[in-house]
Amino acid sequence: MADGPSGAKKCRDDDVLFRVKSKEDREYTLSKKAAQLSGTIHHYSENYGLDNDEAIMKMEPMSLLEVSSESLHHIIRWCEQHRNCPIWEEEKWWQNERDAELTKWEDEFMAEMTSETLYNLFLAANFLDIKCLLDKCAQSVADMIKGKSVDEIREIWMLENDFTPEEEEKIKNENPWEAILRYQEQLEKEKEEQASQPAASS
Amino acid sequence: MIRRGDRNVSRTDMWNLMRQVFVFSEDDFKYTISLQVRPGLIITGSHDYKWRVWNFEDAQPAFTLTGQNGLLYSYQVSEDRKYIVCSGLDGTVRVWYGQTGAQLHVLQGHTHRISCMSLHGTTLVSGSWDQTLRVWDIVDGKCLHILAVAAWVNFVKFDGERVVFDGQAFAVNVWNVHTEECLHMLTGHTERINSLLFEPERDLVVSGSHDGTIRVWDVQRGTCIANIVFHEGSRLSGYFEMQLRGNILACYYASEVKVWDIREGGSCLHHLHGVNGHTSAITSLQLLDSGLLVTGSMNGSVMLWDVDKGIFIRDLIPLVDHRHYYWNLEASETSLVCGVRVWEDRSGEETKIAYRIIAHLTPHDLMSCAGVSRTWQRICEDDQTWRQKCFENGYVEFDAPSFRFLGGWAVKRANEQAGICSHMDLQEAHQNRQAREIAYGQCYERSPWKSLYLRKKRIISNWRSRAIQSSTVLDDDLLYQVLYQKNQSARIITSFHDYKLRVWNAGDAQPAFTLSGQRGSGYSYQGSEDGKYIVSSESDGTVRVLCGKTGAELHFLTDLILCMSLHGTTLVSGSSDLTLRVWDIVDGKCLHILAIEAEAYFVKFDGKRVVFIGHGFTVNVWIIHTEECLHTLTGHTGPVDSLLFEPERGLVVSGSSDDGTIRVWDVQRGTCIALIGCRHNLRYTGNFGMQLRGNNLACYYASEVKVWDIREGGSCLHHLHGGNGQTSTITSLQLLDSGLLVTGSRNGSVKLWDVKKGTFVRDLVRSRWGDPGRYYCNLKASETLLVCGVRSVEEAKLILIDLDASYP
Repeated sequence: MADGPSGAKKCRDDDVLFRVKSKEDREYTLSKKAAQLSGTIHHYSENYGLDNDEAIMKMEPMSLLEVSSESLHHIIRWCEQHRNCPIWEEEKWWQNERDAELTKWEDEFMAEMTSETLYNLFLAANFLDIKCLLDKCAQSVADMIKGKSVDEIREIWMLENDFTPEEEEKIKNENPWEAILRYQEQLEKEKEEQASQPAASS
Repeated sequence: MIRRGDRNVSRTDMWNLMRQVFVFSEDDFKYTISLQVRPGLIITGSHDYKWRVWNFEDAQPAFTLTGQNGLLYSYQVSEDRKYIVCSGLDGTVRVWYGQTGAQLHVLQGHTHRISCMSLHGTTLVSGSWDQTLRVWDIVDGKCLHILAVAAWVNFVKFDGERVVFDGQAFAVNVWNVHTEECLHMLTGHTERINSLLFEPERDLVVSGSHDGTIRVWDVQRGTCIANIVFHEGSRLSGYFEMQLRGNILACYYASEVKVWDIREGGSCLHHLHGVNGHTSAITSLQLLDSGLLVTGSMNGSVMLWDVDKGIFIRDLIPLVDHRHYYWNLEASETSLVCGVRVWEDRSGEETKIAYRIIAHLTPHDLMSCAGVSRTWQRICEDDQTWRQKCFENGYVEFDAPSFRFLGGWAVKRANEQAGICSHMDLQEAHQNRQAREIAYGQCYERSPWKSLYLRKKRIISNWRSRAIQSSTVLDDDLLYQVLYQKNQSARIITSFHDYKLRVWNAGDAQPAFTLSGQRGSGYSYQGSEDGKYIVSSESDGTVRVLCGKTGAELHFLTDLILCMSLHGTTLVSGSSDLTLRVWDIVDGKCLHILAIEAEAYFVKFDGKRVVFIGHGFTVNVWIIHTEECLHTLTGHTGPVDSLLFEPERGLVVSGSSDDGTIRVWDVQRGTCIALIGCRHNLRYTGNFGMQLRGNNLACYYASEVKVWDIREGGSCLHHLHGGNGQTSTITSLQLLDSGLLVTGSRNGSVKLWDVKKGTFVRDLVRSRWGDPGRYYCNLKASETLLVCGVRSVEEAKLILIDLDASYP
């Protein structure tokens, strides 16, 4: 497995380490701060008294039977990288801000994923309840959908068209709006491009 | 036995996990009855605040117990199964018939949540956070005793006479309920009690505490007969539970189970863990008479142990798959019942994931995706997602779709002559009209917010680019007001030079009624929001209150009125006798008279505060009801000729053409938050007007429009003029929610601007060069309707343009 983008944070030796175990029974460790990013681990540690360093050091590995070794490896990388981030605001997810460097790291991280690993990572992030990773995964998938036509989407995801011809006709009747939206989004995009160009040239 | 009733408060999360677990209630009070001998009930509590009761034998639902408000907390079933008693966080206990599920009583009295209950025969003891225990007779529903115990009780056990509970200072309390006296206070624990067992036959109580010890007490003598330490030198901060059968006490903590003999001080018999043990946290255990122990764990496995030998026997339920994650179990000698919470169904999880994905899609992509398949349509038309998209754009619900095609709209269509740019041709307009006949389409049924989003986008595009679909011309002169009434069509108030006031329905462009009897030309008109009243101030200094439906004159207020402001049914008027008067327009009475120092020419009222321009060009803020002055805001050095008041944010904007400044005031604090110099060292001499919407302040002067952001002192965003700008003096402007600005000018043209980008969008009504007769345009606009009054030497008319769209 690749080590990932340069400058990836590793947990230090003196950190208090959480022990977790993957589906394949492989044991991994992650720092306390990184572990707290996972709602599931947080919940677990609250219920099992893992609220002090001593208890954590004594802990039995937590079995994560939903998570494969590969996904867990990626997740630990993610969590270590994000352990010092401000708390994720789930209610207003679109307002969360990340600094440019971290966003760059995130993009490189996601770029490594094949669609298969992304899918598994997504499920694992969901199981472990890591909101910021969930959101990034969602964005990555959304990026794959963006700008695609209905037929393209069907082909990529191998989906069956289960609408009746009549229903399809009705959906097409909503097309004037689709055209409007496309036009407006295009305008906004052009405006953004215009705005970014002078900045790039200077 | 898993005792649902005895959940500790700090474990609310744990409780949440358990809410859907099936639990047999058969033996909830005593630990002896076999499930086989006495066919039992399964009672489940769910998120919808309903208890469901199932028959054990045929595993069919028997009935549902409803009525509880708040989380379900605990239940008890009487030994003869005649009564079921339930309690929730709402502080009430409900008694039901165990055979039919009919409600017998609601026992009220506790003032806080009921945390635990214990039933013996037909006598119930309930413990609550209101620091009392109450003893009830569940048959006649009466409260027999109230014991003030000075502690938040979390566990209570009752044997018909004695009640055992966790009391003050971590002591186990034993009381006699009939005499209401405390028999024993068993002290020893140094932290909160987390588990409590009572075996009345042997007078034994077992209490487990977070301090890491389990104590066995003889409640007859009041002595501690065993003090068992779970882990040497460590506390039990997490979740644990224990069970006693004979002399065997079993307790689990995390993934370990220990078994003790309670005789002779409690010697540890076995420590069950290791190679064959649970690797995941244990969540429940059950001791059987035959020396067997059943344990269930969080990862979904159930194991059987021999407590005599301390060995693992076998997996009763091995890991089936990874979808199960929380087990709860109850066992009798001959049967085992497991409750499990499954990761809902997988598709549910995937749907949740899908919603996360679509939150990142643009509306256009969402539209495409909705056409992929039924599943995708369901997901992509999720109302919450679209609601989110609407809120991000500031689209909130607005008026029902109008149908402005009939009446005047049909017979007097505005044409090229009137100056309308790019009108739809008749055929297109007809098709458009047919489409608009369906005000709420199928998309609205599937997802109202998506429909709203699309409608709003359509309206914006009607403003920005599409050909005008419907328009009409009214022959009248002065435009005063476009009134909107909730759930009704708009009204337009106009006046002609014959001094008659006309009210029009915007819906069919027909006159609603005409008001006559005016004593001179009207100054200004205001309508109440509910459309019931119209107040008209006239040039002879009087105010008339008119019925908004019929135009009948209701009251006649005599005052030398210069200006007025209506809020609800209260009118504030400024008059030339140096007073402000407050009127109730329903009964026509004057409520207050405030003496002021100078004639007020501008007044704004929000029902509580009144803002007016006072002596020395000051902005004055008064509280009407107490008649006191809140602030006198100084700054302007010349007469103010425009005043805006936004009560929600406590903002006042005052513009003075004389000193060339616009000031934004915070009337709550009494400070000036922005000083906008329109023209440095230059005085305004001409027309001047402004409007505030959100943080955008738009102001016109001569042939220029400027837009400021009022935050941070007021930075100028845009200066709208030039190539496509108005070349003639601007006479009116209107800001719209969608970031658009409409301006009307002296040469009769109406232009549309984008205030976000600061660009010209298009001409709505074109000025016709070489037509010197045109000289004035006044306009009012709502989000879906534009009304402009154009007056020339020969004629005066109102042009109405419809920009509405229906919900697709």
